[in-house]
Amino acid sequence: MKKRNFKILIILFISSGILLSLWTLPISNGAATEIVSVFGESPNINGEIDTDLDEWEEVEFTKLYLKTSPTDSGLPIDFKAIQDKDHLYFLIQYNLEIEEDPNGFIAILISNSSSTQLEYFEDAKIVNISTENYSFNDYYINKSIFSLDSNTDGKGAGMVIIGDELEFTYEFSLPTSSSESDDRDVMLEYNSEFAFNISQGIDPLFPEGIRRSTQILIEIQEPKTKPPFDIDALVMGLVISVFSINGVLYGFYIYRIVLLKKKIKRIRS
Amino acid sequence: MSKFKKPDSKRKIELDKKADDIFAYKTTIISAILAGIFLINSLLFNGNFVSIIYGDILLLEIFDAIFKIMVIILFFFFMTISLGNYKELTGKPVTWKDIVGLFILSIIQSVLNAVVFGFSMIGLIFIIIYLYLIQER
Repeated sequence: MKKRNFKILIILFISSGILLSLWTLPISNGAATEIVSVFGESPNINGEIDTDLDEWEEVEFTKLYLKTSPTDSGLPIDFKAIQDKDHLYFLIQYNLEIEEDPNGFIAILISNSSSTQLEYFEDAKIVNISTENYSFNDYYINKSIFSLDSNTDGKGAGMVIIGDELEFTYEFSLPTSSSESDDRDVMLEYNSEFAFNISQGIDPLFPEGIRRSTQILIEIQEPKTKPPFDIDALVMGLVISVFSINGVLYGFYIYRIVLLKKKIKRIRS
Repeated sequence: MSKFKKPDSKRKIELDKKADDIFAYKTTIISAILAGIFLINSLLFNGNFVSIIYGDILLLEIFDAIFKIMVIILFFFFMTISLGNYKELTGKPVTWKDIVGLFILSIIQSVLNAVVFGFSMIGLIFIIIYLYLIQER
């Protein structure tokens, strides 16, 4: 009897260990890519890149790969991140073969820290393209269950251009200040690093519909406050003042020496 | 005998005094010109118009700081010599007010760089102490 109890205990211990390890498995394939956000002009979140306004021009594209499994070569996507005082903006672009489904979604899952483990992802911003229109939704994640957030924080937009290929463009705006966030959002605080999961899929079912994903790490930068005065002008003014005083006094001293020479000559004669 | 020699010695004294004055005047003007050259160099380097630093080469940064300090110290040194001789020609002594004035005009040239300011301050104080100690009592 005792032996049987011991066996049950062992089985329970092993199965709980397996369950726990599944729970803490990273939800992406591969290591997270470190992205440096750059301060720039706020883009208009409409699924289009306005080249006349030089939208997204301040930063270079980073190539990321959305993978189905660690061995998958992945779907290459072009990614940009820009920050302003109150928002973090993402641009995601990728192409698919013309035979593929022109519908689909991109989900940005946000971890409450730099941890990439499943339980730390609590917020999701999802743009779903369906019949060439898009919808944006804000979700709250609790133990991998996605619940629609009644207060939609942030913005998202998407567009698919059907040509030789299907060209997808997604834009996201995530609030970094408390003004636009509620309890069901991850607060993106300044000077803290957060993990983001970029997931792609066709059917807007979460998390079942997620086909491919990757993870990135971004440190939210604190906006640099402009000094009330121009430091360069102040330094230049200081240099000019200091050396002008020196120059004027030096010139006056040379003048006095010249006068002294005349005075000496006059006395001698 | 002394009656014949007196005019000669008086003339000799006058000639000596004249030679001394010419020498003092020359020293005044040459020292002032040298101080002027160092002032222009100080304007260029301490005013950050010219720099020998490129990249992150520490040795160049050290050399740049030493050059800036030396320029300020030498400006003060030659100006002090020039002013001392000038005052001698006018028959007045150099006062503490003159020295403090020169000290301020020299040290404010390093206002953009804390390291140069610190070391220039030490250097100028050292020169003042040195000049004070070597003067005739």
